[in-house]
Amino acid sequence: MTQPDDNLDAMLGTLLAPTLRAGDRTFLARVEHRIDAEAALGRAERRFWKSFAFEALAISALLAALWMLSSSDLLAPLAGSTQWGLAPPLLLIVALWFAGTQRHRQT
Amino acid sequence: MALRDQEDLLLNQRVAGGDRAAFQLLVLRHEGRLRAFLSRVAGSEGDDLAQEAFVRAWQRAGDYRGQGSYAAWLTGIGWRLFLDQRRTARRREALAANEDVPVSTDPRSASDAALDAERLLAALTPQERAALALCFGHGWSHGEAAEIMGVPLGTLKSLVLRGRAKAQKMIGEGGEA
Repeated sequence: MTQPDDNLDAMLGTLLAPTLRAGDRTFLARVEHRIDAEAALGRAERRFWKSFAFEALAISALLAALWMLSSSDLLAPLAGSTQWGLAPPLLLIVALWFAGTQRHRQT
Repeated sequence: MALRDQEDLLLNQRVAGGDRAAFQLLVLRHEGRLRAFLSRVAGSEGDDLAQEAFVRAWQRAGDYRGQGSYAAWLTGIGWRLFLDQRRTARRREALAANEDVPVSTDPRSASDAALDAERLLAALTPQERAALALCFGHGWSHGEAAEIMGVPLGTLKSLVLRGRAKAQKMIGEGGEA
């Protein structure tokens, strides 16, 4: 490499070299805060999905039970002559309950 | 493997096991160089990227098993985060795909006597900036710099040559005025 090339490389080295200094504890604190925040967010997300899965399972069980009830001969007098009888109002109650729990969770 | 690299590897093994004190030591050891590099490449966004890079290094400590130095691994994370952020910003701002060369908004003319690093770097593409900063500023070999940037060695060498030529031109123009 020629002399001017060496000079340019040395100049670039000087211009682009990081300054040597002690570790920055303020920066460290910011990184740790961010790690804690992400961990808390991760925990909240896991809690949400766990509870969502549990509630979805519970609702599925309820719906199955309601369907069985609505098709039962025991409740036929209450349901009237229509095929679905009690199912729509009961489904509405379940939907309102689910919406209520979701809203409560968000607040 | 150098002693410092061995220490980093041991510290990172502790980090992978959830040792926060070991991670603090690694941050204090490496933040200066990482922030300097990312500031050269990304400007004012450099510190945010460096923070994010350390968060990823904490979360994925198990991925580093002593292949290359810890500093190179960490710098690679920072570089990829920069590329991701740039892609997102480009999509958001709907910039033209071929606008790779950033336009310098520095009001000072090239005839100013003192040519500082910021002015020099503003004339380069991010890839050229990164290649020059890694090879000249941080003293990485071409092979290590290529590894960090995730490009073939030949591409890295081309980036260094192009960036160097642009720098030489700028310095020449500054000197003639």
